[in-house]
Amino acid sequence: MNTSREHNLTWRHRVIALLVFAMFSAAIVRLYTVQIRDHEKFVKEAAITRQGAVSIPAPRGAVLDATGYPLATSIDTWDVYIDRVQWGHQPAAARETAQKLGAFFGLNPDDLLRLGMESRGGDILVQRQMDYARGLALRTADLYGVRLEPSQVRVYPEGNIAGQLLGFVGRDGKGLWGVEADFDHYLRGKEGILSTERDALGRPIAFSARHERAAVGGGEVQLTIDRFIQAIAERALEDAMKKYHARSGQIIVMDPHTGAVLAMASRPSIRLGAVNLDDPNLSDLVRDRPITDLYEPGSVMKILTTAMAIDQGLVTPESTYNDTGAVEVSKYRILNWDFSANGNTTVRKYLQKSLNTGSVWLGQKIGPDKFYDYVKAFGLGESTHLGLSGEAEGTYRTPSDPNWYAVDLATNSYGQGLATTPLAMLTAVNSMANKGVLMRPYVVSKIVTKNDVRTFEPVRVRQVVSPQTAETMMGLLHDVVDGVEFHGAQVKGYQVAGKTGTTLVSIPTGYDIDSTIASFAGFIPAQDPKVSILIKIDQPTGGLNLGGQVAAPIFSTVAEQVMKYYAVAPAAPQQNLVRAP
Amino acid sequence: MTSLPAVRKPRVSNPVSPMRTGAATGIARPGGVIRQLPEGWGVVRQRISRTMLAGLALLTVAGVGIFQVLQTSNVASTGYEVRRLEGERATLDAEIRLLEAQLASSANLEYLRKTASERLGMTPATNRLRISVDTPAPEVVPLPRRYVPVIEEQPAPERSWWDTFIDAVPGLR
Repeated sequence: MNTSREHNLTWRHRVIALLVFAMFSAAIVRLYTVQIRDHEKFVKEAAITRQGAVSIPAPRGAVLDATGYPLATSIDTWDVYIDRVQWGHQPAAARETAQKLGAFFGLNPDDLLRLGMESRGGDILVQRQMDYARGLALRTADLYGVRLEPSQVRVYPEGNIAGQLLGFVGRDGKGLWGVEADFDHYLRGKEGILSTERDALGRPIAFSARHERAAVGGGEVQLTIDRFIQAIAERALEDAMKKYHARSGQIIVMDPHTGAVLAMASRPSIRLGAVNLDDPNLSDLVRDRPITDLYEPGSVMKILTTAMAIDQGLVTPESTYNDTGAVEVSKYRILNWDFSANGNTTVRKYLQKSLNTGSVWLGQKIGPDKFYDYVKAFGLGESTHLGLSGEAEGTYRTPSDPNWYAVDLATNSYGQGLATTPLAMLTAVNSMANKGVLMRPYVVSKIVTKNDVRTFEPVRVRQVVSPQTAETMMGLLHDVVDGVEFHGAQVKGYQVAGKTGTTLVSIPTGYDIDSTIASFAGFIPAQDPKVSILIKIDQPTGGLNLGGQVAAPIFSTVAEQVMKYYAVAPAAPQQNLVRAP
Repeated sequence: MTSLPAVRKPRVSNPVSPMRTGAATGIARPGGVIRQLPEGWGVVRQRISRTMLAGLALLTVAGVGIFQVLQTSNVASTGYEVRRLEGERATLDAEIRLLEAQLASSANLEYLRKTASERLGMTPATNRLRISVDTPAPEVVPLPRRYVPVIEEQPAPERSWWDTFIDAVPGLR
């Protein structure tokens, strides 16, 4: 038997056996190569194919007001995509999904199908920032080839107040303007990464190697802005804009003792949450004018000029000069705003009547060197270092400048020919209510991140005038308002200190005598100021265009409401005051 | 004097014959060498057949296999549960953020004003009555930490003997 079998093995059998042996040998060699020799290389290649990383969005932090109320916060949403590759693999399933998806979104299923099947490139975005609850319902439906990515949308619970200050974020959730941009680093957090193995369709394999770095939520930025005071300022400004058909306007409310900005309203303004980045006038809408725009402060500057002269011991409130109604400086003739000539006039009366001739007189007594030293000390030529980007620095010429003329000192003394921001001007004026100390304004009081809490305290910049001078000035400013009958800035039951300002609008060829900037800067209550307020209305129309006519009444409205909000009792005892048991 | 040749005796430490005692205490090997076995082993050896031994071995292997499958299945289901809970937590976090935003919107000043004037028919006060009380003013609202989840650093738990054992068994981790 055995012999016959051996005899049956032909050369063909041997060749086949050899081939089979060779094939197995090749397979073994290949297995050795793949499994042993190049094992690491193939593991890496496989990992690249299988591993997929998904970013986990970090919730953006909130911007809070001084009371902890969120002025801007984020809520979760979904971005809904059609996975074009999956729809391409399973047209029947895609058709069915298109029907359901169309019904869900109220879209034409045929359009969706065509979009998903025909378009080139990556996934098709069906809806961005879809409501979270609806997204959960859609995810539960588990539609074929429909992918939901977590996203967020910025919401503004208090509406558009402090719009320019808050700023806005882009679609990618990054801050583009205002506090959102300047403090983006703290607000945006750190997105996490989830790395998992995926199946052929890109879906995470449930039980597989998984590496996760958790997202870290963004920090909170707390502002010094008080939404109640901000709302008061916004409402008053809105009414003024309508009443005077003004080109623009700003209201700033500060704590004069600390420099905290309690409200900063500006018009025109943006609609937060509906910012059109293609709007050619976007810059006009989003500009935070109280810190970005320079203006000539006009007669509000007389507060500083008078303080300089008193601080230098050159005059007292009862010092007098002869007001002839005009002053000649070089070849220029400077007149009072009302063309009046008041004869022998005290410093107190000059301030009450806001006489330009009085300012020129004081300016000349102070002298250019001292005058500009004081201007610098009041911080008018520099940024206030508020901490927000885009803040402008004031400008003025000094005697060291070849373009400076003697008339500059005269015009600068009553606030023309020098420019500063409204915030810098109010900051300088605040020193009168703060014993002559200039405080740095600040708008962010606290930043809370996961690992850190940063608190911003008031910063004392320098002593500009003596406490006695500041006290004298407060008395003079009180006389300016409450010492004048029917002054528009008066608030019933409260003592007010302040000064109006009216400036002609500068144009390339000089000044537009028909356009003014009406302003008022003041304190309430005058004896122990709780707040300082600057009102500035640009180019009011309708016949009224002076600071006393336009800005002072707005001050009165705002100041009265702020006093109510702070529950500051009126200075004079009221008839209906009762004592609780 | 001639020495007698040594008689080679079997190496039996126990002179009692196994046949007589009925206990297998040694194993005869080719060449007559008998390996000493522990007392009693012979009885077990007699009672456990080779098939039974093979069966026991198989059962052991199967037991280890089933144990591993059960462990793997347990880990997988725990993984699913963790994943589900993570998803649930994410949903709850999102709902909390949404509710906070809704709550803030409900306290919107304009909304309050409209509700007061239009729905409740309230008007601004014309007469004010001031009452002095001895109660101190409410404190400033502290900064809420609701938007930043506070994650307390927990110390790593001590490894149990079970974890150590699972780590020691190949293929379980």
